[in-house]
Amino acid sequence: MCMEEIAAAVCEGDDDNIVDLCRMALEGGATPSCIIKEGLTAGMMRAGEFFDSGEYFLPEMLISSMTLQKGLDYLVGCLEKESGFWRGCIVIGTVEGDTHDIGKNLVGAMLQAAGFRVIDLGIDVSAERFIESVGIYKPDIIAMSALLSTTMMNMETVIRRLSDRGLRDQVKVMIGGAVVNQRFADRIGADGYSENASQAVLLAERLICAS
Amino acid sequence: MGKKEQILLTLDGKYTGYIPVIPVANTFAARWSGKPMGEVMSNSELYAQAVIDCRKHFDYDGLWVNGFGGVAAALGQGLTDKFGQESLTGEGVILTRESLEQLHEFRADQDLNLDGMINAIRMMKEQEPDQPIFTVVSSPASTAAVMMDVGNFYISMIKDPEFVKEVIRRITEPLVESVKMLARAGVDVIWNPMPTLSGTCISRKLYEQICRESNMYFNEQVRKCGLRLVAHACGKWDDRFDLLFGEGNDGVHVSECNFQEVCQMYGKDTCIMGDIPSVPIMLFGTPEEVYQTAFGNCMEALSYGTFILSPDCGMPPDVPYENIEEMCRAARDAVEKIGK
Ligand code: B12
Ligand SMILES: [Zn+2]
Repeated sequence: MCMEEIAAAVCEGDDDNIVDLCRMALEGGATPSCIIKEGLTAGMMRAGEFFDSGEYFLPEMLISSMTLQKGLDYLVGCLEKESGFWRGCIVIGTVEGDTHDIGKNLVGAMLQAAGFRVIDLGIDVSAERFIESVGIYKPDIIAMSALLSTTMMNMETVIRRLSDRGLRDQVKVMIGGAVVNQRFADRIGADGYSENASQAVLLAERLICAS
Repeated sequence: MGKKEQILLTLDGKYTGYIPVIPVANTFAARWSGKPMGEVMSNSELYAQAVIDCRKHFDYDGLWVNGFGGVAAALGQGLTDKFGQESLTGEGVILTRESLEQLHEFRADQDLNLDGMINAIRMMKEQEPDQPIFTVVSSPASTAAVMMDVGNFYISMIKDPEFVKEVIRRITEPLVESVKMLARAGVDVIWNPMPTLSGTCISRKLYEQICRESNMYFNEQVRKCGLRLVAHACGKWDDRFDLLFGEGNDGVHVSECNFQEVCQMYGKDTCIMGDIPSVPIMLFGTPEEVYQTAFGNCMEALSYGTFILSPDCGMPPDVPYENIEEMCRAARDAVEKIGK
C-alpha cells in the first residue's frame, strides 16, 4: 500500500475510499503521521497546485478537502498517542459580520494537514470570541479571514483589543481573504498576510519559528 | 429627452449624448443617511428615502431597490439549515433531495419581502419619476447555490449534478413570478449578480453544463416582462464571456477583466457597465485616481458602443464623497470630449 495512492485519492477527491486506504496503510505498518504527511498532505498540496494553476476550481478543491478531512478524522485518534506531532496551535475564524467560509476552511484544512492543531471558531466570530480563545486554547497564532470591505476593519479591532488586554505578545496574528493585502496587514499591525492556502502554511511556519 | 429614457436607450445600445453614472449604491446610501445601517436596511421607507436623497445629493443616476433574497426566504424560511438551526433567510436549507420536498409553496402576492420592495418602488416613482429603478435579483442557479449552501452546491455539481439541476428547476418559476410582480410595481432594470458562477469559483465546463440553460430561460422571461436586464459578471469571466454575452442580457456589468478587450469584442451589441475597481480605487484611491480611471473607462468603452460608468461591484459604504464627485465629473468631461 503506497502513500501515492492515498495522495491521489485526496487530489482526485475519492472520499468514498479514503478511510479504507488509510486503514490499509496503518495495517501495513505505516505510522499515522507518515500517512498524513506523505499521503494526505501531499495529495492536498497537489490539489492546491492545480487550483493555483487554474486547473481546479472550488468544486474540485472542496471535494479534495472533504476527502482530506475524512482521512484526518480517521487518523487523528491514533495520532494523539504519537507524541510531539503537532507543530503548534492555530485558532482560525471569519470575522464578525462575515459568513464567507470556503477560503477559511481551505486554509484550515491545509494548516491541519501540515501538522498544526487547528481550532476553528467558524464564521461571524466577534472580537471578544477571538480574545477569549487566547485564554482557552493558548494558541500560537490567531488566523482571521475577511472577504468583505465592510468587515475587514473588524480585524483591526481584534488586534487592538489584544493589545488593550496585554495579550498581544502571547500570540501572532495572521490575516487573509480576498479584500485584504500586505499593505492592509501592515497598517493594522498584523504579523503576516498571505494570498492563498499554500502560502498560509509557509507563513504559519515562519511565524512559529519567529516566536 | 428625460434621464430615464436616455438610460434605457443606453441599455438598448443607442448613444444619446450622455454617459449614465450608476453606482450600485444601496448600502452606500443607507450609510450616507446617517441613521443606523441595520435600521435603514430593514425598513423599506427609511431605505427608499435614503436612496432617493443620496442620489439627489450626488446627482448620479438610478435608484436601487434593496437586494432581493425574497424567494429563498419564502421557500425555505423555518427549515433547518446546515448548522442545524431554523433558517430565517432560506440559506443552506436544501442539503438533500428530501429537503426539496419540504420547501413552502411560493405565493408572490403574499410575500412580505416583496411587499416592502413594492412600497419602496412606489415612493421612488412618486419622488423621482424620471429615474430608472434597478433591483437585484439573482439567477436561478445563483439562488440555488445560496439555498443549497454554496459549499454543498459546489460539491454536488460534481457528485450529483442532476440534484443541482432539480433544485434550479424548482426555484425558477418562483423567481419568474416575483420578477413579474416587480415589473408590475414599476421596476425598470433587473441586475443579476453572479459571483458564485464565475471563473473565480467554477470551471467553464460546469457553468455550461449546469447553469447556462436556466440563465437563458430566466433572462428570456425577464425580458418578456418588458424589463431590461444587466448581468453582473462578478469575479473572473474571461474564459466564458462568449457564453455570457450570448445569453440575452441588455447590459453586462464587468469586474476583473481586460476592459478594453471586452469592450472591443462585445461592446457593439451589448451595453458595457463598469469598471472602476470598487475597493482599491473607489474606496482607497485618491480623487485623481478615480477621475483618471473613470475617464479612461468612458473613452475606451464609447469607441465601441454604449456605456454606463460604475464601480466594478457594489459601492462600499465608506467611499469618500469626493471620489463620487470625481466619478461623475469624469463622465461629463468624457461626453464633452467625445461630443454629444
Ligand atoms: C462564495 C461567495 C459567497 C457565498 C459564501 C459561501 C460561503 N459559505 O463561504 C455567499 C453566496 C453566501 C456570499 C454572500 C455574500 N457575499 Co460573497 N462571495 C463569494 C465569492 C463568489 C467567492 C468567495 C470564495 O469562496 N472564494 C474562494 C476562496 C478559496 O477564496 P478566498 O475566500 O479569497 O480564500 C483564499 C485566500 O483569500 C486566502 N485566505 C482566505 N482566508 C484566509 C485567512 C488567512 C488567515 C490566510 C492567511 C489566508 C486566507 O486563502 C484562501 C484559499 O486560497 C466572492 C467573489 C470573489 N471574487 O472572491 C464573493 C464576495 C466576497 N461576496 C461579496 C458580497 C458583497 C457578498 C454579500 C454581502 C452579498 C451579496 N450580495 O453577494 C454576502 C455577504 C454575506 C456575509 N454577511 O458575509 C463581495 C465582496 C465585495 C467586497 N469587496 O466587499 C464579493 C467579492 C463578490 C462581489 N464582488 O460581489 N458570497
Ligand atoms: Zn461584484
